[in-house]
Amino acid sequence: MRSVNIFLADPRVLAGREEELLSRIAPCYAHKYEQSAQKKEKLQELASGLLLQKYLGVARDESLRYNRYGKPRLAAGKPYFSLSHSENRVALAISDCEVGLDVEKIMPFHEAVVKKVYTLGQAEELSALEGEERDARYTGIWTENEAVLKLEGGGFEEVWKKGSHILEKESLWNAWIYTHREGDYFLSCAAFESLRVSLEKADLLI
Amino acid sequence: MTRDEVIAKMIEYAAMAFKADPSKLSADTDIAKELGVASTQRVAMSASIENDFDVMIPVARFGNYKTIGDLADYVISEM
Repeated sequence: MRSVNIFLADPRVLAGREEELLSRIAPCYAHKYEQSAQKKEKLQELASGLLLQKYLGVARDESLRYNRYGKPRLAAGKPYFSLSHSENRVALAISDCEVGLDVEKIMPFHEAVVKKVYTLGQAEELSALEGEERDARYTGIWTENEAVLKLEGGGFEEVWKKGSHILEKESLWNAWIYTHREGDYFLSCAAFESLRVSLEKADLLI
Repeated sequence: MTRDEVIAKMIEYAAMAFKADPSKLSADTDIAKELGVASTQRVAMSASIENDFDVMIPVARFGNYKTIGDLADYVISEM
């Protein structure tokens, strides 16, 4: 069975050490750091760059290529990876097959979003819930949908243009999805086959 | 609907999506700098706009509108 290694980090540990750490990461991520307006987002970009450097040896822009949706991959092809960040978490999944990853802090249920980008079945499931339970499941479903969309190489833009029925495409609802909750965060990883999962906290300062 | 009324709705959506205090938002609020660029919040705002105004703003183009006022002006142009 193939496997996926997922590394989860809290970017807040980087606060105060940005200048020394920026030199370690690929220039494109240093640029994203500079372009970000909010400190939280700056730290997310720095953490993303550090995860890529630490676990995939990416320190140069030439090491990366992008598809038409902006999804990065290694210029060498393998291993495959997927990155995600939300609030105070940044996550990197690395596998020997294509994967899609999403991490989100629990967010409030939003009816207009469900109407637009969730499937009918998902909307029905949420209609039976309320309060914190509904917010949690809303977020969990979001991460599952986004992980599957990132696996396909796209993202919510395609759902926006074409409607949520594309989430019911056979290859997507046949995808393997792993979902994990840690405190206020949900993380989902999707692949086209079952994977053995390793999930660990990443120490970005080593 | 007047421009001020559309701006008020954009402020309402932004406050909900970004968990911001609506009394501190205005037409001049810089969305990326003051509220952030997280896709989840942009999707939430875009969904609210489409649901109430029937104006579609692709998530990928959301960043084209610098301020809440700019976003309101686009929505008005498409109404």
